[in-house]
Amino acid sequence: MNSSKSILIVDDSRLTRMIFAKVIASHYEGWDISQAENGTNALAIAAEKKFDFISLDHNMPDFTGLDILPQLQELQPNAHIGVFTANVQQVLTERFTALGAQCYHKPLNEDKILQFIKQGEPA
Amino acid sequence: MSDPVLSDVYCDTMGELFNIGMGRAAKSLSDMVNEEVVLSVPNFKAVKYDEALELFNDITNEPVNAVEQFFDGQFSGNAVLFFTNHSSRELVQRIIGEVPASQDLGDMEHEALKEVSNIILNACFGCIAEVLGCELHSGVPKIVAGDLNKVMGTQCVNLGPEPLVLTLSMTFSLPNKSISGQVSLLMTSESIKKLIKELERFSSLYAM
Repeated sequence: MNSSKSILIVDDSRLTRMIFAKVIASHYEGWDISQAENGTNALAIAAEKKFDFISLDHNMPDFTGLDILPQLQELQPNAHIGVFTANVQQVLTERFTALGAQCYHKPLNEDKILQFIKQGEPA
Repeated sequence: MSDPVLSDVYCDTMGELFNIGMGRAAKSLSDMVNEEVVLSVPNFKAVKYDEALELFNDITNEPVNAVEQFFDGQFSGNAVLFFTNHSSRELVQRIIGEVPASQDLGDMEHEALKEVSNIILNACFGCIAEVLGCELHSGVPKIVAGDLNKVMGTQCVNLGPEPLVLTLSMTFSLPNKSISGQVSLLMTSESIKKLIKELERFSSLYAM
């Protein structure tokens, strides 16, 4: 049983957005899924609409995930934000953790996506 | 205009797989040099061999140090990673210390470059194989140095009259140093068809 929620998927890779959206749609019927292919669009969408979950890429053409995370947190104080990145260096993970976001390393799979959702749901 | 080697969707998929591979390689490189490695946004292209050469010549007209590695499995080809002389010198310096500016890279420097390239290329192979659910084996890396056209030309033997090239430009920066490398997979058109089959199978899993 899942109450309908909303998620914003921020990633310049169409592949990643496609996998994320497919997993969410197949496990959480009726969820509202929005997508942004760069940081600028992510901030624009986040300024217009409230989200329960945001998945955020780090290495994007206009801004890094680290650049826009504070603004996303300000715009979406109630959203559970997870960073999905191919950059698996410890120092980057620590920077995101210090800002309160958990890192998940690519490649994406169903388990990682579901784990992210589970961690953002009320106990 | 000729048909694209790969559709936009498959270019995106391959670009992302290379990106993940490079992310893993950057972690290994960071562990080797004990410093953070900052990655640029990768630029992936799938082109015919002649177009690839033009692209590479736009990047540099200097001699290059390249590492080539054969790969085989559901699809096969030659992987080539090249650095300009300047970038390879910077990279090797970070790993083994000073390299005299006036000299060509020696055996020890070539070994270091080969090791780094082996890590980068295998991170890319590993990621492509893992995500697409196939198996890729890689051969022993070999150093090829010199003129870019000659270096790339030697990779085309046995790849038929019109090899195709999947290539990724990427810059990784260390503190005060910026190192640019070009990772390329040279494949026969038959092998590209096999890759496309794998991509089709993979994409069908996530079609909405």
